[in-house]
Amino acid sequence: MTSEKSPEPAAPDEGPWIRSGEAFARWRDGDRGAIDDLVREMTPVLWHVVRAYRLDEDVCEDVIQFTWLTLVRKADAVENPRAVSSWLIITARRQAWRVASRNRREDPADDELLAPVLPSSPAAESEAVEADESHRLWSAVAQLNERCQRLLRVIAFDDRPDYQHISEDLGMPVGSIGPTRRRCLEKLKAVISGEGATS
Amino acid sequence: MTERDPIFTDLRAMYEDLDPPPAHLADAMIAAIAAENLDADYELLSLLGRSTELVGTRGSGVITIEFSHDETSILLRVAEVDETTRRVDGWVTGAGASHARLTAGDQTWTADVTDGRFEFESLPAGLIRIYFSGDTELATPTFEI
Repeated sequence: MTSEKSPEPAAPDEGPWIRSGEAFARWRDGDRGAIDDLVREMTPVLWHVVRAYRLDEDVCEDVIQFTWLTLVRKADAVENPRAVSSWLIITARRQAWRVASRNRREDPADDELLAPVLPSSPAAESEAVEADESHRLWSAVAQLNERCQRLLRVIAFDDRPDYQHISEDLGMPVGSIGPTRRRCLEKLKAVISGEGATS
Repeated sequence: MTERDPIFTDLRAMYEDLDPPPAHLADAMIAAIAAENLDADYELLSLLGRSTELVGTRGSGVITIEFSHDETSILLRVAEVDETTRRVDGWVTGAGASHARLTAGDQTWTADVTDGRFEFESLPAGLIRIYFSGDTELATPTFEI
């Protein structure tokens, strides 16, 4: 361990995917501890993918645990170790989608009404928001519809999004994901630049 | 390869900043994997839903948790007896289950499943796991009561 700071890479980087694949291959070859590296690399990514479905924290945790246990129990299902990250993301998203759609049926509250809650800051509308880049972006994202929010968050954490499965989860034709993604981005940028602001 | 708008980098940073995973999450997942008996031949039940009955005051809450695997579904009700004690009862359908075994740490409890019904009267609050034996061997992931 060194104290040297390494700057975050600005562009999506293949590093995590390669490291994950290598850790998984080592684990399958009998290195029991290698799974820990894979868990530390991918658990934060899975968190954001699952949270995109607006599940409570404890439910997210259950979904992520199910994903990991399914992986270790069915490790042979991943034919190519380098595909393990995608396999994890798809499995977690599937499970999150199942739980989210189940809960929705029981919950009459409309998604549009359930504005995203700022988990760490109650001062969502205060002047502090103006000063804080993250909060400003959060507020902008909050003005998009749920489908856009989910799609953007999933893609933000999945450098190699799998449109086939995303389209199934979102209940939209695979050919419309690209245009939807573009529309969501355009809307987001319009909100950020003030054109799409509703107030 | 698809082109990637730089705004995704900002979005990613924003979510990492404002909705980060709980600090214990990776450790909890490592512990769950370490505790998993990979030799045991059972199917993993997946969480289908969790709901809290919002009626009543703090301390009298009942949590309903549903799990499923293929044709099997399991409904659990977790009631708070007092601060540290829980009561769990439930129904299992589709598995031909005859026994339920519940583990919490090193401790184990067993219960008969009669007409799909089972009950654990007095359990310590904390992490548990329930195994069902019958036509199929099934296990829930670890979850908190």
